Amino acid sequence: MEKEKFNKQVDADQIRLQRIYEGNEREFNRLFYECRSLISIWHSRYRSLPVEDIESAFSDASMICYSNIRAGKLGLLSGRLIDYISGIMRYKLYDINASTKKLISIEDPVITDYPYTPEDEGNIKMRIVVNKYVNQMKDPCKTILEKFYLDGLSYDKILSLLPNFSSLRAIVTRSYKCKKEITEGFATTLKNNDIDLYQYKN
Amino acid sequence: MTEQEIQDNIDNYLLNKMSVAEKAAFENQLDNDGELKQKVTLQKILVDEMLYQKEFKRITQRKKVMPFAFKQTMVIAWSAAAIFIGVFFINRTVVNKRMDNLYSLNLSIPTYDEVRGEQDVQLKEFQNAIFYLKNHQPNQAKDALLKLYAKPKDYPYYDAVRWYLALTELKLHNKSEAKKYLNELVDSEVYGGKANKILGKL
Repeated sequence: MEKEKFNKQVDADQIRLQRIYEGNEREFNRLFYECRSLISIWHSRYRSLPVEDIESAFSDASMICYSNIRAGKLGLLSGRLIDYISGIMRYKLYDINASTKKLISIEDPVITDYPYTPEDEGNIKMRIVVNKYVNQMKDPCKTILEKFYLDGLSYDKILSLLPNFSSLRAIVTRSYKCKKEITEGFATTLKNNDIDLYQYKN
Repeated sequence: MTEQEIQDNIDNYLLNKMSVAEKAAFENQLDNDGELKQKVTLQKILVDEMLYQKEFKRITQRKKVMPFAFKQTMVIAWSAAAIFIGVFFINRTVVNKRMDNLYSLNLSIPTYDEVRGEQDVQLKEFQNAIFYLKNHQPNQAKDALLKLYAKPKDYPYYDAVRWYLALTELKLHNKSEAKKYLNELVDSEVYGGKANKILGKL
């Protein structure tokens, strides 16, 4: 690809990134659908990888890209966003392959390689772990925390949504237990993955 | 301070429910208490991740956003097409009705006296064609009249053939064909006046 054209795309993506950071959901929606072509690109390059794995890696990579933009972890771009997502897909596919013990080499980038800095790599690694951890959260903790933190519901309103709890006292106690368990579990997960919490700047 | 009180403070901090003074005091406490800082950091990462996942699901489950200009063009194009089709069908119905009326008003089956000449072979041919019209068989009438249409100008029913062909085409709702035959009659002594009248109404 011509260098000038490539640089123009990076500039356009920089504007797009700023919009997404500011909460423009349509902009991310557009990016997500544009980058779906990565699924077929990866599939045509690595025929031995199941397409479901590629789709799953694409979804997770897009999610990680979104989280990092919204959290302000991706500020100044040194490549295109599609390259950034494709690079994360490589991490994810490597992770999936390692866990299923398949010996498929997925080292080469399918499109232009994103020049990740060590900080970028740290942010991505952290997001992969957090993403997996949150996805593994189970009920009733998941529902209680979502309703409490995301929907801003009070405990008596959460009680009306969870018929298994007999009293307000029971749900409050369960909520504290959930927060404690999940925080401790998350700290252990980070430790097991050699991730230093304070390297991940907030 | 009990563990629950600490957790309440963390929740109020994460949910931005503290006053400016409370927030400043809590942040001061965070700087001096490593354990508390770790708890808050861990919980903030988890809550942010839950929030981003929720947003991500909402954004990516939405249909692909079309650029506004393209959407606007599509709306205009579809509206124009719908109007065009509507007008076309309405116009066609009105014109067909008008042609039926003109046919009924102008059709008269000639007697022997009206058509020139005697009851010879030529007259019989011509009359047979006309009788198809009387029997509501315009397609057969057309076929029979078209056979006579090619006859030379000295053919005694030269104009009459064109007149009845025009009426037949009116009956068959072929406006352009009807006009073609009527235009051939505009200078005719017998049919010129009637032809001009119909042409004015078509």
